[in-house]
Amino acid sequence: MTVMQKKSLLFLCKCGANISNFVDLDRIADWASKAGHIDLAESHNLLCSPDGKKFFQETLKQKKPDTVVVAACSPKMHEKTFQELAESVDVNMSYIQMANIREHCAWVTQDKNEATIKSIELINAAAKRSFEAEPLKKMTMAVNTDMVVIGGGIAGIEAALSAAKADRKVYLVEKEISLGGAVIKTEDIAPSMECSPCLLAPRLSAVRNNPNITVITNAEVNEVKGFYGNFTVKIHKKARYVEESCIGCESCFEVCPVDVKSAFHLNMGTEKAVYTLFPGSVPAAAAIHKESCLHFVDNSCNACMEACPFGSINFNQKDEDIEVTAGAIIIATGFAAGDIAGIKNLKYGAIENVYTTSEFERMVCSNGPSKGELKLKNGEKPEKIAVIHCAGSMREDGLPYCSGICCVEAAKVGMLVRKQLPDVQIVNIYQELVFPNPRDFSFYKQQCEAGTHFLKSDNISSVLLSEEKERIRITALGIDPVEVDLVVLSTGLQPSESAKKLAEILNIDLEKDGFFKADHALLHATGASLDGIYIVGCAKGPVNVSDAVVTAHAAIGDALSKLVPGREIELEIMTACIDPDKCGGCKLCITVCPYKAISNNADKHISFVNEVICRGCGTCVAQCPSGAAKAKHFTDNQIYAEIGGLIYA
Amino acid sequence: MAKPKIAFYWCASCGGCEEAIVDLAEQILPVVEAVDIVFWPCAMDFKTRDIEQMANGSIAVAFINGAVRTSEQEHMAKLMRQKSGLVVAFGSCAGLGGIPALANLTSRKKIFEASYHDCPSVFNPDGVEPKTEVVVDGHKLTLPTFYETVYKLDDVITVDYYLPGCPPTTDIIVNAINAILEGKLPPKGAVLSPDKSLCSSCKLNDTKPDQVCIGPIKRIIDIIADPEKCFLTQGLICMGPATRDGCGALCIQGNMPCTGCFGPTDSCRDQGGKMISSLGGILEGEDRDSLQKATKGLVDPSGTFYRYSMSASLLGSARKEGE
Repeated sequence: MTVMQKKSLLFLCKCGANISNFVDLDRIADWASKAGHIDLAESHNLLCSPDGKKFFQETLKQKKPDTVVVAACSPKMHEKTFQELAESVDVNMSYIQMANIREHCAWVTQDKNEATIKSIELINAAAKRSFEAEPLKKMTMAVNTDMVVIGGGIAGIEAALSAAKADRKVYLVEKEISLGGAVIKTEDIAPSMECSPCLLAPRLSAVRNNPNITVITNAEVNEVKGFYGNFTVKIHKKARYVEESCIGCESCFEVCPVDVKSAFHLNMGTEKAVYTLFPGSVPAAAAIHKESCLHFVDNSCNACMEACPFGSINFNQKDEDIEVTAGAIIIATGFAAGDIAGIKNLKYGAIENVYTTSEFERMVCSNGPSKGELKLKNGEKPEKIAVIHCAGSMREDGLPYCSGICCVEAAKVGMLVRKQLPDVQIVNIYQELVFPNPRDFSFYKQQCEAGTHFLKSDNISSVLLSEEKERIRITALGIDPVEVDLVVLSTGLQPSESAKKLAEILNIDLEKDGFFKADHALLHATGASLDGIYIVGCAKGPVNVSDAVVTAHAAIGDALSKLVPGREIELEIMTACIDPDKCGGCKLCITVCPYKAISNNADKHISFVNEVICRGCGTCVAQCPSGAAKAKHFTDNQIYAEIGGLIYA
Repeated sequence: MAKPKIAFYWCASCGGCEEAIVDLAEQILPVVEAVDIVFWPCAMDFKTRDIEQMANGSIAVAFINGAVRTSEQEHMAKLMRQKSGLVVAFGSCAGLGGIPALANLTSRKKIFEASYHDCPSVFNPDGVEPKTEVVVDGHKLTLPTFYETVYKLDDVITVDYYLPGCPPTTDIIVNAINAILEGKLPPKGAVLSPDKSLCSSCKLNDTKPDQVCIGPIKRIIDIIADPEKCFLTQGLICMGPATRDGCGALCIQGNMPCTGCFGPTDSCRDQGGKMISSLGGILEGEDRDSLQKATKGLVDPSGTFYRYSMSASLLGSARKEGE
């Protein structure tokens, strides 16, 4: 019996002169003609040109080769091109193997002999590998085109509105009792100094009036199953004890006898045990602080219930678990203000009249705890205010990085102060200034001209605050001591408290700094490390309002382009698979799969890959101690053949 | 009709495989009934010339155990191959090199130094070493060549089937003999034992969680192993995940982790490498320090991961001087 020698059809591309000038194609052709396992197609001037593509297709049709080697450029350039051309003439894509004789040979040496030898080796390796290829099959799957947005700040709101506009159902999940996030707690947005509530109010009402958006507040996502195009999301919605019929008329506020420190006012003011975050919130309904409300504490009060004109108070309301399905998940969980409690020199919490930028801005907000009036703890007006840049930032015991957007906020302090107290002296103490765009920079120049003094310290970590006769004395390396009445600490931005838990629930990666990690920092910056999950706004790292909205729109644009109603999604072709006849069920692959794509079937004592989730990374293949797991198109046989082809060319 | 002839031969081995035949006990009787044993140096008095005089292919099956370490073993293996219809590599040494192949990590020179000079119990004032040829009183005496490397059987002859194990268990020997007698053999080259890993039949596998993370690696002498819990999860290197099934998990039942004697499954080319690769994914620790701590208890990696399969490994042996 004679075994037919498989033959690979070799295409040699000259790539204009890119390859032919540096590699001896005649010598390769001569080698190929003698090799026995290679049929040579004519070499072509530019195989990726329209003429070259046609030549490729026609030759394949005519010669019906076992396999094909395209000796040309990097597979990153044109492997897909030639695979698709092959498929179009009924040659399975798996039989197309690129040999990179341009980037790996022609472009890396002036020595034509060396380049030619290496080309022959790579072509031989590719041919040998191609003989071991098994056909690949394209798989598609129907998708759910709805979306879940986690976080109801400006990024989440804009994401929800954009998706809803494209007729997608959106579930907007917010942990607070109403939407608005960080922006609604501010007065003006620098550098344009646009009024924050005025900016948000129409967007909030657009959300409220949009039938495609379901707002789920006082709620957290606690379980996510599935994958891109087919997520099931479980949401735990805590009872607020006020029904949706509440319009936020505040009748109950007047009768509630309990005052509670207001988290919305960053603990600087109070609210009642029945409360809303601000008038006109979405949803409008109030909520009850269960731990403070006298009805719950000792059953001694029903005042709000009696005062409510709509019968909306419901002390028996229960927590709810809601399950929704979606094709994409958008994470817009924002940030937390940098924690500076551990930095003793700043005396935060120890000296009166020392605030963070968020606290300061809340204080001067017209809807703030003091209705926007700026005053010291003793009720007097300040005469001099200092702003400390990078408080707690760029130091190992705080945030080791620069948040990039706080200098504008720090510069804004002076402007907010001058709005009501034009004669107050403002001094900003900094080591580095970051105004990364023309708008921010001119805002800074304006503040300098308007009277804010910027003092450069040699080391911002050296800033030390102390009390000095009812004033605050600030010393720092490189500047003369300054005495002021009030200090604003410009804190950086750190990941939100929920980021870590959410990353675990979603099985996605965080950056070292704790913000969500992008799939690709440049090309897919709003994609998380798993397909179908997006990261927008400050969830992906500190951004200003404008960039938060840009990322939201970018993410939704990408999601809309990938989840099109009626169109199936193409799944990864080169997945891993586990041979059920060979798997011993040792489960070690399950541990290492970064996508949770492998499960164990306890009855059959085997593990299996869900090929819809699998991204073909091959980790389980390296892990599988018995060789039952196989990476399609990267099988041991292919790789051994390739190595053999390299060595024995 | 004449009964089929079978032969047993041993090369570099400990004798355990011969014991395994004897351990068949009364199960050997129907075998003896059905066949003629024509060669079994360990148990019966036959001479090499008896075999040499037989017609080529006249022995139905030759069971050869042991690795190939000397020229005599290679010669005998080739002779058995010539005279036999089927050759079965019997046991880990013939199949994969076995324990003798761990000597591939050293050299012939060093082995001789240790065995004939340095070993404290050696008395060798004249510094005599084995030689292939020596003339005594005008008579030439010869000894086989001691090879630099230990080979598995199929490195020197074509092997038709493999019986794994150190030694092969009674069940798989009986099954193999029956399959041969009944002519119900799989395609040539097969290992006559299930092609799954030991975990597939190990009762302790059910105690293993989906997420396996093991702390510092321990040896069986370091802890009292819990007989009800997967050894790997106890930090013991159990080679079960990288080892072929078929032994009936005998060691596990004796509260000892698998040491890998049944060798790898068909889809695995390098048993030790696969197990090392696999451990890499489940070891506790992220950085160099913690990983070094986790692997500190692993005092003999080659002996742990390649105890039986050094000749069959991708590297095969350490690089020898002068190579």
